[in-house]
Amino acid sequence: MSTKKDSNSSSDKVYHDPLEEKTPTDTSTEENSQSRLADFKEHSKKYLWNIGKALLPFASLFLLLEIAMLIVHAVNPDISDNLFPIPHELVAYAWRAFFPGKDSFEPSVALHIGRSFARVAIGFAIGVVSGILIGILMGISKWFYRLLNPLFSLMISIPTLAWVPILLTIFGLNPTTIVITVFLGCFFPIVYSTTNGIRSIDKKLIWAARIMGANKFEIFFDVLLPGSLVSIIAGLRLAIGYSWRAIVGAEMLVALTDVKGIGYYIIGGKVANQTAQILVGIFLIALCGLLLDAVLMKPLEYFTLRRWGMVEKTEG
Amino acid sequence: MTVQKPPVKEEGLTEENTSRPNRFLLFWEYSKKDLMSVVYTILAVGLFLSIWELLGYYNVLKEPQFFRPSVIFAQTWVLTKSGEIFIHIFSSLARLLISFSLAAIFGLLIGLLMGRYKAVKAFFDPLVTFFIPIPGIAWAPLIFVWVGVEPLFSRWGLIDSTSWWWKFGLGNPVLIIIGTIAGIFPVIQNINMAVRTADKKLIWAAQTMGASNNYIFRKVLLPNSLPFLFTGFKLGLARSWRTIIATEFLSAAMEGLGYFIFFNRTLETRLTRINIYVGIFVLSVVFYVIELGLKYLERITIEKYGMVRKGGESL
Repeated sequence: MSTKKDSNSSSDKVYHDPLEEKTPTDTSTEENSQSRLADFKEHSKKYLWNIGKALLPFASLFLLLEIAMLIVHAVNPDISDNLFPIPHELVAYAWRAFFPGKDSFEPSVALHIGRSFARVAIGFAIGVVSGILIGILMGISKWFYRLLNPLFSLMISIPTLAWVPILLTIFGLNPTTIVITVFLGCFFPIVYSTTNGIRSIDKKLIWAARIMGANKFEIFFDVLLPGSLVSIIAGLRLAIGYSWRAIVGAEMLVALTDVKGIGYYIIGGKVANQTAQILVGIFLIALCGLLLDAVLMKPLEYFTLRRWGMVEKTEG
Repeated sequence: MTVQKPPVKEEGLTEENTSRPNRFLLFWEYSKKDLMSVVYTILAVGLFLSIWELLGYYNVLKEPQFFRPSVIFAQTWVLTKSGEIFIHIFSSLARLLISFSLAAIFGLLIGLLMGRYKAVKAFFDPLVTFFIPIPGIAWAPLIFVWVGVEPLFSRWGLIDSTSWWWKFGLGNPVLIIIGTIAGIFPVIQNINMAVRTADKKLIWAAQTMGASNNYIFRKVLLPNSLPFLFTGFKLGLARSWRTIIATEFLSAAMEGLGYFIFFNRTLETRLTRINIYVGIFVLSVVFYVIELGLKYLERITIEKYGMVRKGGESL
């Protein structure tokens, strides 16, 4: 084993193509597979340990609140359960919110989340396409930059939700308003990061490509686009967070009509004085925000940037 | 034969060297980029506004939804002259000031404790990671239900709702609490980052040279973490501001820019529809001024330590 490790560590110093590393040639030997199994076990143990460590504060908070609430309810029985729910009741409430019985009038939370995700998907897709196009135009053309940059830098200082009143007067109380709010929330960061990514590319690279006889399309696809990809994807990652934040607020402000959605669900909790509903909604918002980042953005970053060799392989 | 030496030119005494450089030319050379960017900004905004004005004049963008910029500016001037808009601006700003100072104090405290004690860090790190993606406005219904919209202390008869500090938004606990919650997370996150990126070798170097803890804190740790602190404060301030405005949409507070905008939305007359645009225009101007102030602060605090390179070097 020790010799194996030594040989590994010595070979680390030699440069390896990252694509080549993924297809090791000697997978057939038993020793190697065993060591890889041990590696996998160690990794998964570490991973599980990290997850456990991350869950510990939530568990302790849960216990603390449980005890505190039990004491409060024991001392003062007048306090309503609706206003200050006990944590274990919250869990039961979350279960009922996801799987309401047949006799319940209210739809499942899953429906609300699905509606919100659909709106985010539409708004974000429009924002990505138009934002990257306009960002590239602003990055390439000097006059586009001079024309649009002042306007965008003024507009970026308006909170996204402040657009909602204007949109309400134009489109009325309906889901279109929400989708366009999401679009406005993610449009500006995407434009900004794309433009910055293209403008911060070293001019010498472009000159070098030009000297070697590249035409404009080649320069764009082989120099500008790969060079600005890190910035663009960082912008996308920011933007999806922004659009997820925007949708909650937008749905809360449009909640006078029966648009579904997670913001609508939360505001419903306020109207009904159901704290449990609000808390479940808040937890779901946080979970979905983390999920969007982990499922959509991290793999995107991994596959594009790692494949194109823009980011070094990180340790651990 | 003697070798003739070439005549030595005496420096500093000739006519060319004594003449001073043209100051205006120097100034122009030095700040050409900034001045031209200002000119382009004015041109671009002017072009945008004039196109909008023309489209409005020829009824492409029609009245009930869109208004010409001249109409909006005229209404802004009316509201400024009567002083009606200032009470909204100042009450929003007062809420921002209080809630953000609370967020900065508690954020600093929690962040420093997290940097000092491992147990505190292990407790708060997952919580912060979990709660950061929640928009501040999502907390609003919860705080509304728990705290209620009635003014602070009013139930004990300490204030009436016509007193000046109620007018300036200080009596509304909901908005302040929500602004604090929104602003605290970026502060904590950035202090964490500052602690994590602090270079241990610098501290060791200072220690070997016999520096006291106090000296190390002042001369090594503080300048090192100042940029992170500033980024955290900037992000936190922006988030507090956005959240307070958005919560004023929802709440029944009688003052504040968000209240001004949303109250005008509910009354569907021509004047109130113009007022929505006025509110959003004022909103962007106010935040733009805040950002300018922050940039100035950054220059006098961080660039003094040489931690951030001075601007104007990009492309």
